[in-house]
Amino acid sequence: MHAVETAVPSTVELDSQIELLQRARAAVAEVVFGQESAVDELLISLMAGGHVLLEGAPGLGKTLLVRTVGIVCGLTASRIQFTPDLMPADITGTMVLLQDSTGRTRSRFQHGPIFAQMVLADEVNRSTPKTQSALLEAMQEGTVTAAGRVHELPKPFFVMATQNPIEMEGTYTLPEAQLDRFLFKVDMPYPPEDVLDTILDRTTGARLNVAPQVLDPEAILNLQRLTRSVPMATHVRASVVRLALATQPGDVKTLERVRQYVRFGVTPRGAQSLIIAAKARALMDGRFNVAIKDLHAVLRPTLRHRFRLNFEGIADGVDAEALLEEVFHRTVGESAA
Amino acid sequence: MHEPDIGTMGLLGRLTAARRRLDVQRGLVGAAWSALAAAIVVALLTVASLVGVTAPGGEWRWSWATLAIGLLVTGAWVWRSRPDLLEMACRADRCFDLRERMSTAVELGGRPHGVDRSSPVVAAFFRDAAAHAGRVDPRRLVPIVMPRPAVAFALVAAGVLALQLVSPRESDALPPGASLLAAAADPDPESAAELILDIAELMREEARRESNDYLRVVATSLEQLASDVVEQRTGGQPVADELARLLTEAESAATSVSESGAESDGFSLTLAEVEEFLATEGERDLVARADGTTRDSPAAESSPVNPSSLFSAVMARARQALQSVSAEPTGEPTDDQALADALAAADSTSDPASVEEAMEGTPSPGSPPPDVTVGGRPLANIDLGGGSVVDEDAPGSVNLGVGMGAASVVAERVEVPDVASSRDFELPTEGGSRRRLPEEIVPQTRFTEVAEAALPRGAWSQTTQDQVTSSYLGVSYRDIASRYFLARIQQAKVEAQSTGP
Repeated sequence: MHAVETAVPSTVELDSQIELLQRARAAVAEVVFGQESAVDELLISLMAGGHVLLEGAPGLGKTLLVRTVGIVCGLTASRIQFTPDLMPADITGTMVLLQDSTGRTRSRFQHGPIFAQMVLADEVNRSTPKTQSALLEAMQEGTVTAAGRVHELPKPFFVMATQNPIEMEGTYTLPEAQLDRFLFKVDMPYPPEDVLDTILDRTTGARLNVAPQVLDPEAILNLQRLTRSVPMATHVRASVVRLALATQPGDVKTLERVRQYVRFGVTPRGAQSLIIAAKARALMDGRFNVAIKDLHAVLRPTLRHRFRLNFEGIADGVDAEALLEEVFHRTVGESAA
Repeated sequence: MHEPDIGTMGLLGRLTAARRRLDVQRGLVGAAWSALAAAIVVALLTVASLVGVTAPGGEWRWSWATLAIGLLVTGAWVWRSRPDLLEMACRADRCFDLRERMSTAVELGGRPHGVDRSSPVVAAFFRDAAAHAGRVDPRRLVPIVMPRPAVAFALVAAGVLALQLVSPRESDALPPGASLLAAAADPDPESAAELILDIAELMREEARRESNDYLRVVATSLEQLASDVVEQRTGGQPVADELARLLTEAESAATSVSESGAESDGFSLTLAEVEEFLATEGERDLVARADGTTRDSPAAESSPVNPSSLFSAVMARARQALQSVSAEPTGEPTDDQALADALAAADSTSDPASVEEAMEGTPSPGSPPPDVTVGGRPLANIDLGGGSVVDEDAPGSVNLGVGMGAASVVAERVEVPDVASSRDFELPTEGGSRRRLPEEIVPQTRFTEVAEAALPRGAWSQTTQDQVTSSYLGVSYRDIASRYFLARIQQAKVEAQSTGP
């Protein structure tokens, strides 16, 4: 997550920005039908300045979703297909030698596909950890270092990585430390019958829906500043603290089941992500303060990839997300219901 | 707390009103619990009183104390646990689904320097919060409902009421003597004075029978009180208070007399007894009532007797008989056998009523002149100290006889013109001081120094208490009188012979 500027738009622009956001949301949902939660989570992560790990079976519309969001938001987009033989330079770029007409040679840094405002890293778990680290480093720093020079990535910079949960043989699972860099892990479920019927109707005809551009990079940056300006009450923040501590298996006040089944609890970065995402969610909902229900709404996408079970939990078939919900209700209270 | 100038106008007022309602609701809960505890205390103590265990001060005092303590604890609890406005705002957010708008607004309003009020988002938030503040209804947020303990209290109170109706309530009745004291406080001085004089007369009779000078002094005090009432120097409740105090003094005097071993007449001077006596008697026959009998009631052999009056009556008749026998023109000493026969013939019956009738009858013809003497002492003036007394050394026994008083003496009364006509008695009053009252000494009680007389010890007999009946006393006293007077006569003869003609 890269830093954002502290300047905020004026009051006059606030309402228009909120309205644009709602329009963008509707535009994406019109094209990517039946995945409203995924659309919301993508836009939320965009407003929060975070990156998203998309997980779903092939053919559910992950690439379509990313491309549509890119079009609606007016962002330059690129797609990187991760393969086992993909090299880091294939992502970041490389120095190339160029010869001019006089025969003189000079080197020039050739930007890689990562130099886009929106990057789709397809099947990121298929490449080697070395290649993965090149992407993750860019996600963390917002820059690319090549030949001793630092190259700034464009702003806003948004990475959506995908994982195919089916073909896991020969893949390199992202380590927890790397997973922690993603703001959201978005699950795209298989659509139900009525949604599938609509999808087939809209996508197999002569006419294809194309989303219009609603936002632009500057508007995205403004929305990111607005998101950070959303106020949050102290007792709401305290509930996030209690939640993070309650997920630590070594804490004396934690639940017995957490102590028994959890390997890694929520990190401070995870708590930060939860708050930022809740702010963005509140703003998207037309409110200007963080509510407990906002925390609950972004709980699973924010923490499901940070709350890891140990072997005993996996062996006993414990549902990590259900356990996370239980911890949330125990610590934050019934107000989230 | 800082009152925000935008977005939250009226919100703090609503939250404050809700907090006041919360104080009231908590106060009601605490009061209900206190009342329930007090009712339980009353119920338990009432049940205990039914089995004879009485709480000091009465059960209602403990109940009020429990209620008072409970209310104090309730007040302290309500004060200490009073939530601040931020907590009330959190309650409002949960109650009305306001998504933490109110609590965030209260908190941001409370720290004016920690919030960027120029931020359009913050400004928009306050506008949004103000728009939703109208949904905060203090009455819906803190409904004031009947606490559950109040229902339990109502049930327990109903049970207590039932217990109160079932159990005999002595406290409901007027205390003994209350009507008497109320009559003494009568604003009509004549009525109050008449009542007080009746009591004084009763007390004087009791003093005479018990030979209790203390009671005599108290009777004098009552007469003085009656005089003050008539002359309107006092009246109302002070009269009743003084009457109660004097009767308390009299009661202690009568109690001390009975504790000294003197035989009780069966009549005491408690306030209740006085009240009962005055309420049941018409013309108040003090003598008959004090004796424990009435003129119309036949005296049975097993009926309660008044030994002292019976003794006096027998002795008086014996004296009369002796006088009649002794009054011979020759002046010769009376023959012993003739005297004994005269005494035996004089008392043909042991009925106390007949004895009293005989006493009240006209003097029999041939009454001796007043200067008949026995052994040089006028017979008419000889006062015989004695009667019946419980023998403390022989439990269950009664000694009957002459010359067995506490002083074991006979007071020979002689009309002496230079004896003082009154003497002072000191009467203790409230506050520890003592009041000196003059007491007139009536002629019948004037006497010189008490002189011991060498009385024959045979002039007494001993019996058990269960045999003390009127008939037994009549026979016994007659026998004692006979032996006593015979002994005195013999003693006089011996003295006469020793001195010679």
